[in-house]
Amino acid sequence: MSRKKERAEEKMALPSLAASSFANTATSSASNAHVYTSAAASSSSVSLSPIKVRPQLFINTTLLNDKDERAQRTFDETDKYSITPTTFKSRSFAKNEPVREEVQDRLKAAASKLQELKTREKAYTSSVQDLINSLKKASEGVIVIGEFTKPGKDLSDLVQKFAPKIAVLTSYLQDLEKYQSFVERNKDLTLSYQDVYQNNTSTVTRFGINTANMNDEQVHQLISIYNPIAEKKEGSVKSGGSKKSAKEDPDTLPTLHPLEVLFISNAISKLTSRGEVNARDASSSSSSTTISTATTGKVVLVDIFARDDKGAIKIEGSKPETHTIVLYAQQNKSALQILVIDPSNSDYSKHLATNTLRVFGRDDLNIEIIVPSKQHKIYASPDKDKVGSNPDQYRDCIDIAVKIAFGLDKFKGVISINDIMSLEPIIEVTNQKDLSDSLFFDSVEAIARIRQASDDNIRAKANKLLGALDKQMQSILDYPGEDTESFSEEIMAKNKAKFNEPLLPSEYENAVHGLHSHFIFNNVLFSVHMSKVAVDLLGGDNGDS
Amino acid sequence: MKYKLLSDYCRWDKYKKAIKLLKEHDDLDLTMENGICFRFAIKHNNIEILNALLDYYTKNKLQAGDHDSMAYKVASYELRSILQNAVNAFEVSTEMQKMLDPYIATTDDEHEQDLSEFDDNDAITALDTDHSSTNNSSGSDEDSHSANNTKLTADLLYQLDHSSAASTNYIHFSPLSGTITEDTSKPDLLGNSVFEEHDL
Repeated sequence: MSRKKERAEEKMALPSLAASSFANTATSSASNAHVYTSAAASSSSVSLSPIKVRPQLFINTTLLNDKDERAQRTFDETDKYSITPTTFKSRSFAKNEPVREEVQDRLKAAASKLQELKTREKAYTSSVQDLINSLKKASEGVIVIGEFTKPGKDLSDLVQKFAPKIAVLTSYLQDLEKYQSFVERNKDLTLSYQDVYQNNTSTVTRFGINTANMNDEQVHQLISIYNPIAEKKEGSVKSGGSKKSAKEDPDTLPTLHPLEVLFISNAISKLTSRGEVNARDASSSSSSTTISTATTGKVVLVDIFARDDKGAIKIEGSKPETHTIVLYAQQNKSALQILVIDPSNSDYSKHLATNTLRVFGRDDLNIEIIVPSKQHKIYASPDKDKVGSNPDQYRDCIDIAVKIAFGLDKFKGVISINDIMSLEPIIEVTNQKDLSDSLFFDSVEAIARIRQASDDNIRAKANKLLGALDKQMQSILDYPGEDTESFSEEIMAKNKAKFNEPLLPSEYENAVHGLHSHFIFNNVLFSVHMSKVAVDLLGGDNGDS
Repeated sequence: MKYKLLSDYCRWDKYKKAIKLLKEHDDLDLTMENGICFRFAIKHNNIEILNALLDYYTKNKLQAGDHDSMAYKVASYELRSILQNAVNAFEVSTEMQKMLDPYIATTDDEHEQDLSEFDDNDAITALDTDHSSTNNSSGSDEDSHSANNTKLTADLLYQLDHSSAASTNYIHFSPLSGTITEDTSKPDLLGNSVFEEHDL
């Protein structure tokens, strides 16, 4: 069967069968009505209708008809994704979105926390004065009054520690009020969705920002809500590494948009499994939400807005540009750590660590958002117009984030953020030569989508063979002989070509065997080459004379 | 192809083979692939290879006596960008940091002063020469636009130098329009255009 024909058939499906299949398999999480697992359209189904296989769409638990206008707009977006519906199972929209429903509570909590801080600031100033007066009185005749001047000033100066937190909360409160006004003015606009991605061993949820249905006015209103880099950041900021450049100054990093805050809070809620961490100030809201039961494991994907150099939200086409990142939760000693892994450039999401006061409503929790201090790129496309789901196209950030999440979902042990770029789940999917010590081609020489296959076994085997071929090449180049270099060039060219073969996911299994055979065949060629070198060592006379 | 082989030797920490290759060839462009050879040496904390690469680059691109030329300044800028990006990406030992400091450390004032010394014609010539395969300049209307060239070049280099992008950017100058823009492609050793990578 020709590859084109096979691909065309793979993209055919029976929507009706897919729908009935879902009816039997959709399940609702007790804690969150968003999440479903559903069977993808049966691969054995054959339809006369030329409809692409697509993720199933739901509004709460109701399957959305493919002909629905909202479905069409969604498909316009998801058709551009590089990840295939084999892995991208479903998208669900909630009627009562948390990013709307929780705004009022957030406002109350932030206002209460702000008031509390201001009250405590005044109380501190007053207490310092009372304390100094008491000390002076108690030490009368023993300590000269002037000796209290410096300690008194030092204690008074500490009140300045309140100012950045008050500034953050004041700014956040203003942004929240604007955001509340925005959601009230746009009651029919769906701002969020949850995607479910699944492979043979893991299920990963993505909290997505829904920009597809926004009109120009709504886009303008949404991105105008906050002032980039409006205030000094505070929070339980911690990042890996020891050296920081000037551009990593937290004060210059962007502020999170209220919508991002709600997304990240909900994503972290999904990750945490104990009721020890409150998302909001418990004293200020009767509906204070405890970060609650995890349902999908320790890794989740979340969308943030892409920012320009000044921290403002970027526009792509006429929509806000979004970017998908990975959040990984782990308990390290007494602290809950949320590691941020950016599939394209770690600099794009490092500001998450400087916005903890906005995300958690307080910063005295034993929870940390950790970002790498070093700049890393995991995956990049040499041609931004050549990103998509075809075998000869590059993958997008959602796709790479999903594959990283699949790998991390099975990871055992505590991850140090400084070592994260040497972890297998990252090394497996990177197309950056300086992250992998075995990657012998760059992203132009070979696309090698098989290295980012959804199937864990395929990914592991493909990368194992990549490493084996690289070591084989080292052995060849270490071998003596005048022609060894040109021989190695031939082998290297064939190795690269092998990884540049455009493959469908359905062909990956065979391709792995093909890579193995290729490795064996190289051994044979090398063996012949070694024999030739051995003969040439004595000038081709076999040493008989 | 030799550059690819060199990058493999750097990736494998094969110091002697890397040195041999550098000695045998004087036309290797160490800025290719965002200076991947330098990045491997810095990532692996391989002082010997880094030293050999810096020596080679200095000998072939930063010749003494050419300090005032545009070519020298562009080569110097490219090296600094590559090394700075590598330092931003990998942990660097104290010993390696000492070795890198002379190539990276430049204050803003020094940098601006350097750039302000450009001769207009140097700017045009260097840019056209270095990127001839990727720009569309005809070179027929240079005089009418040359007055702004130095400032535009200086502004752009300054901007590039202070950008947070990890990849090295390249410059495209059009005398016809008098504009200078960032170029996403860079010629390889054979003069073919090689695309720079895009974040997703």
